Amino acid sequence: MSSVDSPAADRLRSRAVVPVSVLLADRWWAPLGGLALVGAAFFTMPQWMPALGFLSVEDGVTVTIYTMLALGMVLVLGYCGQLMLATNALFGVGAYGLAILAVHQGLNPWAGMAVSAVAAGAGAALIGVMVFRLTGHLLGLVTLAIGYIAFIVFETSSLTGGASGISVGPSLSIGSAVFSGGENSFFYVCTAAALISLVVARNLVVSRTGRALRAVEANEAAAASAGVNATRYKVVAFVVGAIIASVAGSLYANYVGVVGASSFTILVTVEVLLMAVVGGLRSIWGAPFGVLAVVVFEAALQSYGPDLIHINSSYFTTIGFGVVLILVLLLLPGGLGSVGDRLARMVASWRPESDDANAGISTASRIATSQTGPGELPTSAAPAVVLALRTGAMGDPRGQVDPDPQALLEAVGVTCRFEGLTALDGVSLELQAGEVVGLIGPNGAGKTTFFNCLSGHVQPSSGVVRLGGTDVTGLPPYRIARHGLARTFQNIELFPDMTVLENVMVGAHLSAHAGALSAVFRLPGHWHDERVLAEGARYALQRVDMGRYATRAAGTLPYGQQRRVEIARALAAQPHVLLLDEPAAGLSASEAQELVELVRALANESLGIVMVEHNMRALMNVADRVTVLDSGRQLLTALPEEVRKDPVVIASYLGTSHLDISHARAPGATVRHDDVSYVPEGGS
Amino acid sequence: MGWMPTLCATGIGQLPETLASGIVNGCIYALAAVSLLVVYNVTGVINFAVGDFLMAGAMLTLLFAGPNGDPHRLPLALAVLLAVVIVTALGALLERLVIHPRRRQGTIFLLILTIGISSVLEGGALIPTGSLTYGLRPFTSGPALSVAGVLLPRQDLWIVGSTLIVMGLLWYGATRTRTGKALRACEVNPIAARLVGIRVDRYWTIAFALGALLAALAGAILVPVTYATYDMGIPITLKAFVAWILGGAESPVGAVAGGVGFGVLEAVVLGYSPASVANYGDAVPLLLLIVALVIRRRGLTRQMAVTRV
Repeated sequence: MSSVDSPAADRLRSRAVVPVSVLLADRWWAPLGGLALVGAAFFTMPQWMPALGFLSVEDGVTVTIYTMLALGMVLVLGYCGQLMLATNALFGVGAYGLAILAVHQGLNPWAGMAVSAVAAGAGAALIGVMVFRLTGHLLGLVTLAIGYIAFIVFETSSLTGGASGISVGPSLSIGSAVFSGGENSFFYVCTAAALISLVVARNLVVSRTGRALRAVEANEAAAASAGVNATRYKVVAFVVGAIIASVAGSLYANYVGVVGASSFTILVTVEVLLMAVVGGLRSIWGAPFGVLAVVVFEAALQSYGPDLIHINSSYFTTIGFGVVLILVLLLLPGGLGSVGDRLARMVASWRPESDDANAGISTASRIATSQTGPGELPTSAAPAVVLALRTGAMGDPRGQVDPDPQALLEAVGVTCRFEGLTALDGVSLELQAGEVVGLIGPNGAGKTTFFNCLSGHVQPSSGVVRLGGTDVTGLPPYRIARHGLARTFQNIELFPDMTVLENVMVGAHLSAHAGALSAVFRLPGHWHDERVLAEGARYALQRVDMGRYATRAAGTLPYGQQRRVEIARALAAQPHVLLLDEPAAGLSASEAQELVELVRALANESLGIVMVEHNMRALMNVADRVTVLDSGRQLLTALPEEVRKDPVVIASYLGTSHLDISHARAPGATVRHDDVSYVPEGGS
Repeated sequence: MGWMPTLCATGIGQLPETLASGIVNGCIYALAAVSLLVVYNVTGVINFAVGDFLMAGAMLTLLFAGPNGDPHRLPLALAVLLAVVIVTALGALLERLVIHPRRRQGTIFLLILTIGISSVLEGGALIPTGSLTYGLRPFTSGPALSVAGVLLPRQDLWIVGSTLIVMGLLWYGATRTRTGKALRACEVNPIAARLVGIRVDRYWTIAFALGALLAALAGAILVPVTYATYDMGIPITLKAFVAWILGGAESPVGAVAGGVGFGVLEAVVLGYSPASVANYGDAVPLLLLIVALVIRRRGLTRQMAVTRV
């Protein structure tokens, strides 16, 4: 079935690489080093640009303004994976906003800038809420159309002065200092704005919000099962990008004096996309250098091109941009940022602490975890959340759970049809605290579809799912996660470009609350939550014996270890109900035994666990009850030893060769045939 | 329908002409939308450069057919043929050089690559044409024909006729030829197609070539009724995209219906709205459709899926 939706696996890189700004997040010198590097390049522009011969100080202003635009592209496309091509519209809102408010309303230019930014942010939020239901390239073209419409409106409306444009009025000023476009002082205002934008973007990316963004980019389904509301985080990234773009637009208006529509064509968006790609879509610190490279390239082309071929110089720009965009994507898909990454990694590896297990999280959390030390379980000083998990006293921080422990999870008559094919037909399940239910059946029996119905990744056609007594049928996955359900996936769905620790921290997403504002301004809430999340994540990693791999990129781990990380990610959510989809697949016999022990231990902590598994030895060892599915129907639910002996199950699934058991059903066994019409001889 | 009263007020007499011009424009959108569809269904790539392939077809036709008095000009049929062949080869070449090396990357990555292709084609046309506009005489000269009281310029009939013939050939090719069947196999199930010995990678090239061919042909038949400029591509890409989605994004029949539907909608909206609105040109139908798309996208595609089954 081909539809416009792309698979969630849109990947901008083929190899798993953690961005260096994340890997070095706990090094105090890393952001300062980046800032110093960019600052040095920017503040010296008035000196070295004229020295090159074909650039002027004015190109420096262009660099700073486009840096802000490129940062928005990096945030939304690089970190969140959303192709938003309305940059020219947001840029225009800032520019025309300043001009119109200053001229028509007589507003102070600074106030005009602020009002425009708020308007751009609000508009972005509105558009975001509407269009983020669309995915991938569909989103790209719809937003490009929005950019095109915005350009036509700028060009036509009388409010924006039509084709002749609109003059801006008084320049930005503080006291007697006037920052008019041609002044050197204005260049420093722009540089400061660009550096502040860099810090804002970097702080946003290295935080709980940033992890959620990257998780959404890597794997939206898995992020949702950890409780991440994908739309919300996409909108956050878009709004931050829009505000930065609008401020850039206001600065541009102040710089040119007369705002005309020709500065806001779709070509601007393409140019910003090019700059972000050259800088590296995953690289905050690469963006300014990408802009610098493109501006220098463009000026050189215009200045030397006509000497080579005797044609109007401005005609070269479009084809030059296209060629550079293609060449960079083909030859250096990580952009300049990937070169910087390599250098920064080399610098980092000189330092002795680079090998410890704490990179990738903030300093505060490192101090906190050093109380317990790597490799050992938290002691009595362990945080309350961990204690609760260990002792089974599940005080739920998120929503109340039915005090009656009899029905953690209850599914009644869950049916699921896909265009005429009935994948599930009236499957029921009841799960109590401390219980492990095994789910078996041949391929295509509907086991994973049943999990998807429980976790909200698929909407059941009919039937009811209750978690702790609350009806959650048909809720989106991120809301079901809030009711205490966590899961793993049959085909491991990790976030490959994030460290193991970060993967598990995303799992703990709901045990913290810090939002974008506390991340951007590094408020106390940010530091507190980073600590809580890292502690929870470390504890979960230790339970699956993966603590020492915390700093590895998850995508570089072997299969069996990825399975464990995925289980740790589910555990970090401190769920009441855990769904494990083939957790023993690909594990050795001894690893499978460890898994059995872990599942038992978790059940003893009064979790309820449902487990799909083809490894019968492991499953029969750990399950309290076993439900058998076949062709979407529930054959029976019974004790493991009863299932093992059931002739119907043996005929349809287990087979006789490897089970030396009598075909006769034990007398008095409480086998329940939920579907009496099933005739095993009739099926193939 | 809500807009009927206003329409009567403006004068019903122009309605047939308005609808006819909508259908003619719609044929161009339909060809471009089918071009998008062919490439997308086989490769999963949205070809952002579709409008620029169309522009290249128009520009090359102009180059070869030349102004009326030019002694070096080629016969029109030959000019169109040459233009289409060259653009088709260009589509195949760009796929091999640009898309092919990165075909394992995600679709967004590939979409950005086609944006690069779009800039190269646009820039490549800008250097020789220097942002001037060019027009071409109609394929057959003579006064507009009157069909059932409606005046139809001759080139309009060329456009509608060519579109019908091309769609018929496409249908024949897809269902009756080996290559067509293989292309559709790649579209339905690339893995199974590979298992039965179809070289799926090769069909990426064929799909891009076929997409470029359809776009180039649309450009060639369009150029007598509109002026060609180097930057005419992006608005056409956007409209083709809208037509493609509007038609359910799944079948060529849907894409044609979407293209013609969008063309008619555009003509009616712009023809019957007050000048203060009509001044915004392309923005008006695009905005209407984005709103419809965002609100009702699921419904639109599902309806089409059902009718297809």
